[in-house]
Amino acid sequence: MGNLTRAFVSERTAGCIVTGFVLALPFLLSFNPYYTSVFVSALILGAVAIAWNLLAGVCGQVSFGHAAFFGIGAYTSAVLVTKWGFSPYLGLVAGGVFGGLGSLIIGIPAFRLRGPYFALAILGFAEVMKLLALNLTWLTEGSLGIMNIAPLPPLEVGSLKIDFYASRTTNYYVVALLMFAVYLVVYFLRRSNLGLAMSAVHGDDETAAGIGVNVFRTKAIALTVSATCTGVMGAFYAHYVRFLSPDTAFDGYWSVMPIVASLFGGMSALIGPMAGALVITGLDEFVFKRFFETGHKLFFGLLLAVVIVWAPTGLLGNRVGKRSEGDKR
Amino acid sequence: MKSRTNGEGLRDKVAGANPAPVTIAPMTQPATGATLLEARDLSKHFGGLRAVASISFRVRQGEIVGVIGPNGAGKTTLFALLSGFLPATSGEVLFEDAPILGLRPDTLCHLGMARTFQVVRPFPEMTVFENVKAAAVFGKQGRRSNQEILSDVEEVLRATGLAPLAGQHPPSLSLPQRKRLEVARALATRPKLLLLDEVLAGLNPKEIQEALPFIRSLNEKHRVTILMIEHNLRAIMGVCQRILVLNFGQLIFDGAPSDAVEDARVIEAYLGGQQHA
Ligand SMILES: Nc1ncnc2c1ncn2[C@@H]1O[C@H](COP(=O)(O)OP(=O)(O)OP(=O)(O)O)[C@@H](O)[C@H]1O
Ligand SMILES: [Mg+2]
Repeated sequence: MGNLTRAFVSERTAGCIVTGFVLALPFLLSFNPYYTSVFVSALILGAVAIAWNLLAGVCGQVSFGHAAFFGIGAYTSAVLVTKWGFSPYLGLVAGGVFGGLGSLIIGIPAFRLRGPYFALAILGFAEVMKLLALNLTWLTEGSLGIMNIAPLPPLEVGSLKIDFYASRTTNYYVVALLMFAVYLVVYFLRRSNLGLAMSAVHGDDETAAGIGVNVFRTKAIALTVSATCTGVMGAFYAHYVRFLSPDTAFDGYWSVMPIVASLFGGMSALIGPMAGALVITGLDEFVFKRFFETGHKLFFGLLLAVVIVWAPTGLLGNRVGKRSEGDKR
Repeated sequence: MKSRTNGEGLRDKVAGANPAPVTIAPMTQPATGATLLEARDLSKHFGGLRAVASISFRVRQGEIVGVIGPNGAGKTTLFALLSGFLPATSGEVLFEDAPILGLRPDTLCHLGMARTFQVVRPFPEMTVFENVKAAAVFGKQGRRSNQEILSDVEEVLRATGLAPLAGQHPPSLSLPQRKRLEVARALATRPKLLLLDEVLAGLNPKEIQEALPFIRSLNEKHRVTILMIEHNLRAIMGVCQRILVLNFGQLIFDGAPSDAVEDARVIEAYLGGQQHA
């Protein structure tokens, strides 16, 4: 009930505010290359978190293994570009496609499972993918990793040359664009009839079936879209850091941190996970690291506990809402 | 309209003691339609418990059939079998002459069967409007225009008296309102057969008196065939042309409500049930 007294903004407004902040951030950081690169990572994480939250927050299916789709996307693009000479831009697309296909391989059997078993099945899938990346040496170079991955080629717009090799800022704006694209996909998906089905499945999947929702198909679409977006971000990551090993591409970080960011920012707001990613990165960089150089990661756990206990709906939880239909009647 | 309701309510009260006048209701709505639903030797065992034991019955198009029986008789389990929520142990179910056992609930919904849940199960994070809209969108196969869907939703909301609550979330509704939402959602799928599981339970006598004409109107105006589980015998007598009585998973009576109250097995089942309760 206290919610009524709080500022309540629409999803759209919150999305605009966060996007505006993202666009302004490099200026606020005076284009410091170190901080810019920190926030490139934050945006990659934010985009993956938005995608993760489509599955978990909208459709109610928690995944513990989004690293699987991130890694598949990263390796797909890296292999296509380094071994077969594809354009990295095509690599981003292929990374998404393969991330999505990979999710179907695990999703079809895993959707028979419920709750934690589904989440763990995906975690297991991520481990299997990591092992494949380690052992298919002819394709992935195994534990040596793939080195010297081409950066995104410069874009030439008229006389303007946008270079991704040297400039962190251009990378920052590309990842901001990708993040925004992922957000829009999720935003419009939730507003569609499919989004209605996902919310219904989230609410009660048996009842949803009772009113004619194809539950399996709905979950599969949520997972595939989520994994596709995650795969694209993985592919971008490959061309940004320019080196991949099974340990970095399938790092548990990409499974855990999207959850942390989502819980932090609030799962009921679509932009919440992005806000969460920015806040935890900011806190880590400007607060924890300053004071506790070695143990700063510990604070995530502590902070998460605090959030779960005191604000279970996250930072933006009850303050941001989708405009519910029927509200003004 | 109101006075007629009250009149019938009175007649129902009498019907309990003296069954003669209640037969008027079935006469006005002769159920001569084709068979819509047929169960043949339908059984469901939970381990050693025979929750539904070899039940056979038919429901004809346009009928309102009541299902009664003591607690634990297997009524809800029977509904779960019919609507695809539980796999049957054995037997057969035909809907419009086609076998439907093994079909998923969503497929059955598309074929025209909708159910409500005894324990209401709204989608808590969706508004009343969205709850009903989801049913209107997915209840039938094939794309319908947004306009059609919206007008359907509004009609259902108006008919169930939920229109003023359209923007509310289910947790803020009272139990009778949630029961109405349960019915509204089932109705929005445009069913041919509606399975109502104790939608009147928890309502006070006045609310029940208001609900009965609504159930009747669904049947008369919208040609919805209804199978309804109900503990309130007076309500059942007031709307049903025929009742099925279950006891320990078995069908012990199938016939006019007026005859049921005189049936020895039914009386015994109820007296026995009361001793346990
Ligand atoms: N999933 C289940 N697993 C095991 N036993 C079950 C299950 N569902 C129901 N039962 C048992 O089957 C029997 C019939 O239950 P059911 O819910 O169908 O009764 P009911 O007639 O609807 O009763 P009520 O009037 O209390 O709603 C009960 O003994 C119940 O305990
Ligand atoms: Mg029951």
